[in-house]
Amino acid sequence: MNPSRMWLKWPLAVAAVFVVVSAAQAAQAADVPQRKHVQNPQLAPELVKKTQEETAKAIKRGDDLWHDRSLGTNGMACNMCHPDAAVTHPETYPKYKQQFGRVVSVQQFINWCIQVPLQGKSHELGSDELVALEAYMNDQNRGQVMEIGVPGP
Amino acid sequence: MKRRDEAAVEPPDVPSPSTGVTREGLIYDADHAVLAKGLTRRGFLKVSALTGATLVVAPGMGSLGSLVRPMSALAAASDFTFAIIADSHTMGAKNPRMKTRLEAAVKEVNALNPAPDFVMYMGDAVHDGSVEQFKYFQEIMAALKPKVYYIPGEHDWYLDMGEYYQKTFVKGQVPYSFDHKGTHILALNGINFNDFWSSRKLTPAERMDVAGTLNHPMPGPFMLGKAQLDWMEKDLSKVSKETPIFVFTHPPLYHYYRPWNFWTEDAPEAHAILKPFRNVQVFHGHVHQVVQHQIANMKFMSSVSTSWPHPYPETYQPLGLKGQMPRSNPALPFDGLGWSNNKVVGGAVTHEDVLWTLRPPKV
Repeated sequence: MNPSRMWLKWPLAVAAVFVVVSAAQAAQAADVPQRKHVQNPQLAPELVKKTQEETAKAIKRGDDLWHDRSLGTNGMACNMCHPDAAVTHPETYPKYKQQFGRVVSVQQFINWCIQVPLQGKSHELGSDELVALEAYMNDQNRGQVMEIGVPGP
Repeated sequence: MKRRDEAAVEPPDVPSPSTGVTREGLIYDADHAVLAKGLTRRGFLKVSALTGATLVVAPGMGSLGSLVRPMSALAAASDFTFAIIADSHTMGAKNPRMKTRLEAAVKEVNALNPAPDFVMYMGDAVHDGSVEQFKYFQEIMAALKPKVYYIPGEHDWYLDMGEYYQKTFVKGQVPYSFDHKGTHILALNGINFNDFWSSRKLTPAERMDVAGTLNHPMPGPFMLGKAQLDWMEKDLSKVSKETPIFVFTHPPLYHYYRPWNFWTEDAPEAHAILKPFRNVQVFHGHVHQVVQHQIANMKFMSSVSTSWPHPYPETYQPLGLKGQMPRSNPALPFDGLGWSNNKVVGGAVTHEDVLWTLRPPKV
């Protein structure tokens, strides 16, 4: 979406402020192509609240599952090898994984970890469990340097 | 992993590339020093003619030549070797992989020629501190031929507060000390917590679970405690300042990374006690990774585990630590794991990580 076209629809006072910003952006755009989305600030407060609450719930559930040694059968939990979801790089998926020999989504790889290192049963993609684990991983990794990583030999 | 509400440690100016593999199949570390055969830029790869195992001589200690002090400069320490096995986290029959790995370490240590004078077991023998798990661990360790000394990890301790582990393995109490061929050896209890369980009325199993979760916010940092520091001071008062001092303790005896308790809170007090000694080598487990540090006269060396590797925390580079191992592949049962062989020549130690990433054991 072209931001300046959207702003034309707004009340004049607001638009005046954004024209300044827009001009600055335009100047910047000459050097660096801008590919960022512009978030509409006028989100319904109840939707914001609901989004935050539900997401926080999923993250909390994921935190619990991350430490849950009954997710698998051999006494291992995600947290042992990946404390605070370290070296999981969820932001880099989908990507090629040598364990699959093809590009997979992060939930597919969480399933792999449950099945192989934890010797547990796989979960359905999109299940509450996998979504929660993914939510926790993402939450823990926000602000990290994006680094796709090279696997060991 | 970074915690958002925490005062972040300054990141390094240039993000360091991951440890990995070149297109030619060579393994390199974070400093772009190639670890695999063919290109030993920093010269810390070595093949042992005796065992056939590939040994990574841990970097960060300079060349091997600089380690060997003239014999005359030190008290009459004679040469010997010892092995270190650490953090096997055996969990009983439900986890046969842990058993296979510890058995592999036992087998490789038994095959050493010359046989090491002793093996130091660095703690976290089991995961949940139960008698059942200790017996399972003991059966595996029974095959180990050299004499074994034990120090406790938090997983061995917080179910019964070290009672079974000390009775069965330490056969006495930690801390303890002994002299070996001109060196003085301290075996510490590095895993003391302040009492976090009484006021919360935790059961022993709950206490074990909290203490055994690396990044649990409840227990606070590990510490030696005043009684142990006093014991150290008293024990070392009888020892000549020229005598090589080897210290064994489960967590790092310095401040590495607090959120995962890669930490000894009162390490500075211990350093003050160790400072007058000319040659101090500290060995630790707990971190499940290759990492080295030096503070004044004290060299710190980790032990790799036989259970699973831990990630390197964000403080690794800002602290200027050395010795990063290749990133492990969880599909491979021996990746990022191993044990270490230590050669003492004239009181100085050459610490060799037998890293199974480079040469998995034959099972």
